[in-house]
Amino acid sequence: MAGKLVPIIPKTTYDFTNIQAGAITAALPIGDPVDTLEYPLVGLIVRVHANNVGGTSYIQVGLYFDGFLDGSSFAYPDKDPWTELQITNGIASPTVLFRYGTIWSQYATVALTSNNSGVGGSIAATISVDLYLRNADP
Amino acid sequence: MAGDVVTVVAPRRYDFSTLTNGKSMVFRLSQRVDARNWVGAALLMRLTELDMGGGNVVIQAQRDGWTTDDPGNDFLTNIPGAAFTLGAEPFTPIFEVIDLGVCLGSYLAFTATASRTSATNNILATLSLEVRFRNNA
Repeated sequence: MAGKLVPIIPKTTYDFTNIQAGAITAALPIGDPVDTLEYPLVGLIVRVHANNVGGTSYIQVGLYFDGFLDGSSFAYPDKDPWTELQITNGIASPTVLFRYGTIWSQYATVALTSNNSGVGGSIAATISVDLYLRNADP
Repeated sequence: MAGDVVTVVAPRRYDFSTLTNGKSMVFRLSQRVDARNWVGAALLMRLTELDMGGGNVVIQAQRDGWTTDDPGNDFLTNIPGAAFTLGAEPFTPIFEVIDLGVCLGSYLAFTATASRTSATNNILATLSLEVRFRNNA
């Protein structure tokens, strides 16, 4: 099979308005770890249904290498995203954001971070996220 | 089949330490967990890391009435008594079972509501969630 689409989250609202001014949140995972072993070419698809991110704050959707270990009770995400898409005040909605590349680990995971620039206003967005997986087989 | 166990959240670390003191935030952990074939359920929660010096996190189960008639809207309501507060447990690992009752509806959803009650310290947990479905009350 040459490819498949993996839904990560359906249309969901995330609100980071109450994080501290000047702070960047830790990565908060959404959806399950996705096995990319047979499909190392991965596209991150983020649909922005509504955007209420004010000022210079942002919500970042990151794709992380994930060392998920079946049977372990601990999480092993990479500390930095492999790629990321930012939802800022300038992103009109509805729209779709897309990034594409090769995953090196077996599992990939999607996580959200947010930055509160401290100028006030809300930091919220309604998004849905998919991963598009494909391989190079004909 | 008399029962089934469904993984809802794989082991994940949730760190809400950047929350403003006195404020809360709701974070959706999972939704549209199919409950249509079952009468009753219980939430199985495994905690392997817990650092709640700065506040607490409430894990809440909800009935999720998502419908193809209005797919763009959420239809969520809390299941009474189906909440667990992370904050007072003295050690990890911990295994908690929370009864979700019967008459579950079509789908289930789960949220984490983090609240900061102290100006300092962390609010974080590493947890996994499963639902144990059963076909009797």
